[in-house]
Amino acid sequence: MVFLFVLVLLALLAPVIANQKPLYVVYKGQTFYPAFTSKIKYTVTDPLTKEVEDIDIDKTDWKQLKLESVVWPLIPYSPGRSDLTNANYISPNGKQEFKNADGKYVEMPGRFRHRLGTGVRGDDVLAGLIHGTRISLTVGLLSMLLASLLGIALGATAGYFGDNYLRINRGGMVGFYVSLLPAWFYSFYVRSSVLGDALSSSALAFILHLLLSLLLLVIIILIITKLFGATLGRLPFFNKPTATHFDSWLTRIIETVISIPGIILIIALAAITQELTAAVIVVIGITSWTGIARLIRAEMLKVRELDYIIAAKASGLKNAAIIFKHALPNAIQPALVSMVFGVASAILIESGLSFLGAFQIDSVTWGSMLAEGRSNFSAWWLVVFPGLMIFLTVTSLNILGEALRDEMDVREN
Amino acid sequence: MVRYIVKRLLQFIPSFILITFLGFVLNDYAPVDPAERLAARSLDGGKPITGNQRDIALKQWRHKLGLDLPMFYISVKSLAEPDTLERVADRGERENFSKQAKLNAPNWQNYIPTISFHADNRYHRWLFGDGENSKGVLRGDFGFSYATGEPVGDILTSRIWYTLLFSLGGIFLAYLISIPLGVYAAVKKNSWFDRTSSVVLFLLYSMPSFWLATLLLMAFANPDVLYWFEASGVKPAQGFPEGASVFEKLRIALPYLVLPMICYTYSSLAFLSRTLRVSVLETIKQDYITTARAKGLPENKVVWRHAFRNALLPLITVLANVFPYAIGGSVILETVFTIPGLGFETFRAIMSQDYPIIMAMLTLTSILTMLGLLLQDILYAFADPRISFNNTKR
Repeated sequence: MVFLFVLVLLALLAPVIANQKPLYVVYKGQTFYPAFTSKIKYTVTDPLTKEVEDIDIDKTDWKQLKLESVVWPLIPYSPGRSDLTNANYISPNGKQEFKNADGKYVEMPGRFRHRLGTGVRGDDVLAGLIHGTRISLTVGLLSMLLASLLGIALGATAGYFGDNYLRINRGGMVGFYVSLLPAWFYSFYVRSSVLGDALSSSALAFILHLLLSLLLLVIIILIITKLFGATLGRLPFFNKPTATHFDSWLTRIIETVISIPGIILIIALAAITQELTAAVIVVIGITSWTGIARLIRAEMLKVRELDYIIAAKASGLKNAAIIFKHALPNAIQPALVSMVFGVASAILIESGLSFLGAFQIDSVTWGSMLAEGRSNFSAWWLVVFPGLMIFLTVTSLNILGEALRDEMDVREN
Repeated sequence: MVRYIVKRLLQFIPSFILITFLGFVLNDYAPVDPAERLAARSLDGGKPITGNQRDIALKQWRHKLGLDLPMFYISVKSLAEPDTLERVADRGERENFSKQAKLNAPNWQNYIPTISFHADNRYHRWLFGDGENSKGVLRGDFGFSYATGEPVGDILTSRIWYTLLFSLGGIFLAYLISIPLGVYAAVKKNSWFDRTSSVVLFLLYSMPSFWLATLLLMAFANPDVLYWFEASGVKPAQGFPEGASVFEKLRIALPYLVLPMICYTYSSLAFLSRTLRVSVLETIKQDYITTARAKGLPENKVVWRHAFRNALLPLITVLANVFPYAIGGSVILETVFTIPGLGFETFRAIMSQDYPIIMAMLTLTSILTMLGLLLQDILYAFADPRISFNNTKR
C-alpha cells in the first residue's frame, strides 16, 4: 500500500524529482527557476561586459555553466537525455566521470553520480524509472477509467432493467435502428480529423476526444430514438410498447467482445499509429469492460429486488436517480476488485509490448529500458531495476485487489 | 446437447464478423499500400520497374487484390466525398482527390451522411473468393503472404506445432505440479508448507513473464555467467543429425526447450495452485466431507474422492483459456526466445504489415476463443451435474 502511494507521488512529482534542469539558479547575478518555467530561453546580460547570452532552457547542459548558486532536483538528470561522458553502460558502482564547469574531466562528485547506472547513451536509469512510473500509471488508470465507464453504464442498465422493464414503443425502435449509422457518422467520421490530431498530440487528449465521441454517439442515438418515439410512435401500429431485451443484447455483445484478441489488436494499432501507449489504453479500455459489466449486472440483479429499491420506486423517484444514487453504490464493490486487477494487467501489457522494442516510443518506459538491458546482459542494472519496478507495482496492485476481495467476503458473511 | 452446441456455434457468427471487420478497418488504415508494395517488387529484367509500367502493374495488383472495390457491404460517407475513390490507383493521388473534394464542395455537404450498399466488395471476396484467384476464407483459402508469396495456410501449419508444443506442454506441467501442491497446501492449512508456498506462489503469480525470461536468459544462457542453455531458437542451427530418433532429437533440443518451458509453465502453475487451494478449502468445510470423515473413510480417500472432485470446477476455466492465450499471449515469450511459432509470426506479420497473415491470425484466435468457451461450458456440465445445457444464462 505504501509502495502504491510512493508510486503515485513519484508519478505526480516526476519533473521535480528527476530533472536535468535545476530548480533554482543564480547565474550572472540573475535568479531563474528553470525546472518550473514554460519559457524556451532566457536572455542573460553580463553585468560587467554587457555581453548578451541566450540560454536555451531545455537544451543547455546546466552542469557546464558557472552558476553562482544552485538547487538541483534530487536526481539531476532527465530520462532519455544522453550524458556522453558516461555513455556505453556505466554500472552503478563503476567509475563515472564528470565534466565540470571548467571543461575538465574529473571523478564524478557524489551529488551527480548515476545511482543506478546508465544506458547506452549515458542516460540515467533512475531518472528513467521515475518518469516511467508516470507512463505506467497513466496507462493503467486511463484504460480502466475507459473500461469502467463503459462497464458500469452498460452493466448497471442491463442489470437494473433486465430484459423486460426497459420499454419503448415500436416507433422508437425504428428510430433506434435508423439512428445507428448517422450517429456513427457524426460522432466518428466527421470528427475523424480531430481524433487524428489528438492522437498525435497525446494519449490523454485522444482518450478525452474518444470519450467525447462516444458520448456524442449515445446522445444522437437517444435523441433520434426519442424523436421517432414521439412522432412515429403516435401512429396505430407503431404505438405498441415493446421490450428492448437490453439484457440479452448486452450478454450477446459481451460474448462477442470477449473473443476479440486484445494483444494482436494492440500491436496492429500501435504499428499503424506508432502510439503504443494510446493503443494499449484504447484497446484495453474497449475490450476489458466486459468483466466489469458482468459483475455489475449480476450485483444489480440482486440489488434491484431489495426492499429499499422497491421503496424508492414506489416513492416515484426517477430510474436514473435510483440507479446512480441508490443501487450502484451497493453494486459496485465486486467490480472495484476487478478494476484493481485490471490496472495491474494493463501495466503488464504495456511494459511487455514496449519491451519488445518494435515501436518508436518518444518517452522512456520501464519496458523500453528492460529491452535495452536484454540486448546487453552485462548491463545487469538495466535488467534488474526496471523489471523490479514492474514486478513491485503489479505485486502491490495484486495485494490491494486481494485485500479488497477479502474485505468484501467478510461483509457478505 | 447437440442443439446447444449448434446454437452456440451460430452465436459465434456476429463475433466472427466483428473481428474480421476490425481487421479490415486496420488494414485500410495501414501506412503501406499492399498493391504499391507488390508493384514495387515486380522486376523488369532485374531492375525495379518505374514510371508508366509501374502504374500498370499497380492497377493490375489492385484489381487482383480487389482493392479497387469498396471495403464492406455498407459504407457511410459524407455527401462531399466521391464514392468511387477506390478506383484511383495511386495512394497519394487518392488522398489528394478526397481532400480536394471535401474542400471544393459547399461546406454543408461535409455534414450530410450518405449510406451506400455494395454487393461486390472486398469483404465479400475475402469470405467467398473472387472466382478466379482465391477461393475465399470460408473454403479455407487465406490468400498468400505479401512478404514471401507463400500461401498463408502453409505458413500457419508449419508454425502452429511450436506454439502448441509450448502452450500445451506448459499447461500440462502446470497441472501436474499444481494439483498435488494446491491440494496439499489446503489440507495442511496454516502449516509451514502452506505459508511458504502461498507467498512464493503469490510472488510468482505477479511476476511478469518477460522479466523472468530475461532474468533466466541472463543467468543461464549467458557465456559470462552460466552457459547451461541456449538463448534462442528451438533446435541447433545445423539441424538434427541424419536418422536421429525422436528421443535423440529431444535430447539434442533440450537446452533450447527448458527455459521457454519454465516461462510457459510458472504463471499458470501459480494461478492453478492458488485457485485449487481456495476451492479445496471451500469444499472441505462442507457437511458431506464431515460425513465422509465421520463414517471412517481414510483421509486420503476423503481428500481425493470427495473434496478434490468438487474443487475441480475452477481448473476448467484455465483449460478453456489455453488456446486463445496460445497465440495472443505467446507473442512476447516467442519473441524473447525466438521460437518460430504463431505468436512470433503474428508479430512479424504486423510489423511488416503482412495483412493476409494478420487476418488469418485474427480469425484463428477468435475461433479458438469461441471453441475454448464452448469447451469450458461442456466440461462444466460434465464436472457438475447441477449445471445443465438448457439454462446456461451467465
